Amino acid sequence: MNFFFCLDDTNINSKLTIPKFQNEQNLKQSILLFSLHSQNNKWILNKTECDSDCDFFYIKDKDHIHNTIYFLAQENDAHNIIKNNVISNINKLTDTNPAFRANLEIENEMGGFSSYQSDYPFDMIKISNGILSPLSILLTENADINKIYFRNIFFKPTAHNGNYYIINKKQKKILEQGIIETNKTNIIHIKNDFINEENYFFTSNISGIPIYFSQKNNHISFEHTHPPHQYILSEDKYSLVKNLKKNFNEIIN
Amino acid sequence: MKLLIKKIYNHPNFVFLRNLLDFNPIKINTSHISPNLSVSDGFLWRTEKNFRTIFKFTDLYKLFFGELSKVKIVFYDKNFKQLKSLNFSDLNLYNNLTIDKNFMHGIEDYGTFYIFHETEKNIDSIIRNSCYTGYQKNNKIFSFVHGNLPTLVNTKNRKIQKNIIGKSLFFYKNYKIQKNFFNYDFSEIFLQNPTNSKIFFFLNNTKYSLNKYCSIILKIKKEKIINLKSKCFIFRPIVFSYKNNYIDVHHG
Repeated sequence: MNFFFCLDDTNINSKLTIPKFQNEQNLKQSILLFSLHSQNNKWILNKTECDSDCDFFYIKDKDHIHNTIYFLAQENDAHNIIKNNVISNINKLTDTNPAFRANLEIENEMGGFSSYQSDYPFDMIKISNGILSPLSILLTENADINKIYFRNIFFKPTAHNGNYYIINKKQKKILEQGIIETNKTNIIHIKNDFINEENYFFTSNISGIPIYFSQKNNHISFEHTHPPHQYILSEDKYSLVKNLKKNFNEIIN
Repeated sequence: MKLLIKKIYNHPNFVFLRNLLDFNPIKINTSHISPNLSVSDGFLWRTEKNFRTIFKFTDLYKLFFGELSKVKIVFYDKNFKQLKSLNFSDLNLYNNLTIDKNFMHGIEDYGTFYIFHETEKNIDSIIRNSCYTGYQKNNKIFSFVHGNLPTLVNTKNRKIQKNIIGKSLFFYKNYKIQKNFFNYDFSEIFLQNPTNSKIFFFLNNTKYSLNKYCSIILKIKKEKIINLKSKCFIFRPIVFSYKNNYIDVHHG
């Protein structure tokens, strides 16, 4: 089961286009789009009213409450998503290989735009370990703006805080640290000086998807990094990544 | 008994049969790849129409094992004819390679490339290079996309072994891109045949063919849905969408 999200950045418009079909086949026309947002530590479930046609649901920033997440379900199933105030996995509509994805497109006021095929898998929402991502891969040193959208969805409706770190691995030094929250798109501006191969974005106890944004002369690049275990095909992938993160955990502790 | 059945079911020969018959196929089959080998996604380079490509790649052995890699990057044209091959040693952890028409000896076209890592040490793991390519048109910003399909593996005797992405013997599969293409000036769909034999495919209702590992860029305009139908288990494109003066690149 996959969830979908908008960006909620006041300086950028985002548009989420959620398909009513899998890569290989159509879904039933009775599939509807639902949303969840947290309020006073409770999940609030709504049926989403938005533009749609026979192929897609279309959601714009202005159509929704910040940090809302979306999912597809049959009408009579949707209410099962919350059990004991936590999110449950209720269907396999979006369990496909390759992953079921929505198109998340962003646009600046000059019409510069970029998108990627986005999703947030159910398996990730229960994870509390952090992420590690190099800064130099997807950011642009001479861009006008560089930032990371770090999106977390947590299975509980709580907004708890954690830290993010910009770490120079070679010097074993924290260059910057700040607060990030669960169930939110956290926006982290990156100084151009930080963009080199020694520096990493690291979180120790909040998982999520780091989406990298660079803008120069109103042209945009917008893409997420792979989690490191995707570079390993053998069964030792998680132990290798754990080892890799160990060095960073030692630096922040 | 259950274990034995499972073992038979997942035996490479049985997997081959399952895939041919489209019976619970393994779409990305890496079971036949030995440890210590390096798998590469199929990456697109393009230098035509004022494009430049940048490849941002990681020395994966250095990242995970603290060992330096020897890296080989092999470039092919769209007909899978090898154009050039580069060998690197003593790389940085993160590396950039710019591919423009000068790099390609004046060629203004497109094709594919693959990256393979080698190490002297015996490392009991299989690595996959699925790094990032950026595409820049008319000197604007590079728009990045990550690798999306493991395609080739380099064996110890430096021959390129294939057969990671399977295909069905009988049945066509749909691969409908989960995006609405209608509101762009136009889009381009980059496709590579990731299998080791010729495939026929349909982009919506138009039929095309691609020889093994060959690639093609198809222009589409004012179509809402792009459906790719082929016998290949995963026929996943890279998409370039154009609106006004701006470009968006992402995997499909």
